Amino acid sequence: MGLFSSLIQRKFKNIAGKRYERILREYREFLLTEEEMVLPEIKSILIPLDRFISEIPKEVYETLSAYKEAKFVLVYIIDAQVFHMIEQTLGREASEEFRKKEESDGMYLLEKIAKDFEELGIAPQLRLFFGDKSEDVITLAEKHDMLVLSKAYGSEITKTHPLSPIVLKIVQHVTIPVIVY
Amino acid sequence: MKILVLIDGSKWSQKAALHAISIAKKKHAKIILFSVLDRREARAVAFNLSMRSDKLGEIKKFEEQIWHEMKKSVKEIMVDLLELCHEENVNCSMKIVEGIARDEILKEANSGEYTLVVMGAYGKSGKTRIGSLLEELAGVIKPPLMIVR
Repeated sequence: MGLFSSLIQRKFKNIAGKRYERILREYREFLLTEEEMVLPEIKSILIPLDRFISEIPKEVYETLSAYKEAKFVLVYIIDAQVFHMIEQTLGREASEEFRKKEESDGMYLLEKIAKDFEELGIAPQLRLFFGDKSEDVITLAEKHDMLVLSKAYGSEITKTHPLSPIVLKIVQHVTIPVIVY
Repeated sequence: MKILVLIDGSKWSQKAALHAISIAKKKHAKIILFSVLDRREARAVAFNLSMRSDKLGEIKKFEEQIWHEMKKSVKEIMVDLLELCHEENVNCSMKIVEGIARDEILKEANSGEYTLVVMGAYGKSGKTRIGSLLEELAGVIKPPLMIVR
């Protein structure tokens, strides 16, 4: 890329040969390399949802419509630990009631949001399962190129705590770009 | 659609700009490259250098030199990105302000003008842990925030 070459020439005009190679290698985390100086391609987008989310703002849809060719996966995760806690403390009947309610709320939200995506010409894949809201997203994210998360994913947010700690944990651990809305 | 890209001079903020350009190209969006220069940074570096080199008498001169370099460096990065936008046919402009990064970024990002804010996950100190500024901003920026690695 012409731009990259001119940048390198300007910054490294007095450095040649092995020294240039060594500097590039040792300071890689500070310097954008030629391979990295390309417009990114996003082929797969993961969008986790849960009971703390009711909708996706229109600005997010507008941004995501730039990736119409990508595969979209909407995943609703029900906290397995909460399910087991209810089962142990309140009994099987109460835990079954919780499961049914969560599954029905989850499917409703997944279908509602899928409809919004369909209006943009995007047909997302839907998944619903019991699991760990942070660990499962971190693992699933490895198979995607972008993650889209609500600030309230995993816990309620307030004026004094405007970002869910689950979101912060996920953002710290994943290696792909994340959109937080 | 208008995209705000936070540029701090780091490799990560340049990668953030690449993501913004990619979206802007498809959505015919406008990009604003935004940077905040904090004079206190120049002052701190000048003070530490002068103390160690036993040249405290020249601290003001050091501070001015560092301040000048900070401005020049961020401008150079932005001009390179503007050139890239131009090559990709993307409408792009730059805005550099002086002040405290967190305050100025919040003022700009929450002005109601932007559909998306894009920033790097790490700062100028490299890939150590997620940037502290990001932790502060993620909850309080109103438009969706894209964090790039």
